[in-house]
Amino acid sequence: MSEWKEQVEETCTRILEDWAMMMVEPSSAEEFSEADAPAHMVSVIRFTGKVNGEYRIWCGDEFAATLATNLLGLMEDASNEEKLDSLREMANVLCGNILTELYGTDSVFDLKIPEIVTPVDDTPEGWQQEETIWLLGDDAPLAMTFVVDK
Amino acid sequence: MAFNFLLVDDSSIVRKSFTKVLNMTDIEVAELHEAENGQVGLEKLREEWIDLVFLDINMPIMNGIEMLEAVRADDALKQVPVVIVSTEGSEERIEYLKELGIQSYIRKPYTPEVLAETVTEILGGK
Repeated sequence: MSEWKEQVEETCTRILEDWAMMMVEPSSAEEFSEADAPAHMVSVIRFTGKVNGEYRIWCGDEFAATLATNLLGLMEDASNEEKLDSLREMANVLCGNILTELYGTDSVFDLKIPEIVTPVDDTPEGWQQEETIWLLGDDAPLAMTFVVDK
Repeated sequence: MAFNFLLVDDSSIVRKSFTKVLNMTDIEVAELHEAENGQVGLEKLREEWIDLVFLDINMPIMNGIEMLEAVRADDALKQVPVVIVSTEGSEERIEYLKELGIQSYIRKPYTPEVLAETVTEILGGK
């Protein structure tokens, strides 16, 4: 695994464990497919600054529901809006922290407002595989890419 | 002593979870006002007595830096203490925020302990 990919994975794992109280494990494309994550959604955030690019998170309803439930400390099921808003905030928090980890505190970045793409044709199968990180969050599949514009 | 807070963040999840985190501390809350962007935040500041503002940066319509600049340029509001709560990691930008007179900076994600320490440090002596 490349150094930047390792750093992205490490940052995401640490934050999801501490902030969202999830058990996060590394996974791979071979371990699951789109069929494992019905009602999948993609959260996208663009950034500009020292470098320009995009951070993209793909997950299914199960992951989004756990994320929202944990962040809000809910006893009941999270609403659809709570799930989507949790994913937007997750993209914001993870991207901001990844940029600092990768480029240091002397670099300035502007994060755009995160967006949710759902329903989507955009799936990790179509992403650059060497740039995709696969994880399991509380056993629910999660994939992400951090791509800098050429 | 109970305090009035204003939380300005476009994420409803952040606003709801902030309330949860605040309730986990010993801080006495009289009222927690909320705003989804800087423009609404400015309106709330003009309408309500606020002891401390928690302000995100990355928001639509009016971002946190624009709101802070407007607050500091307004004679009636410029003394209000502001804490930035953001994913921002740039030293240059944090330095600029300090020049604008922020009381503190909390990086997301944060713990209830960090929030409690920050509030106590700023309002504890009031």
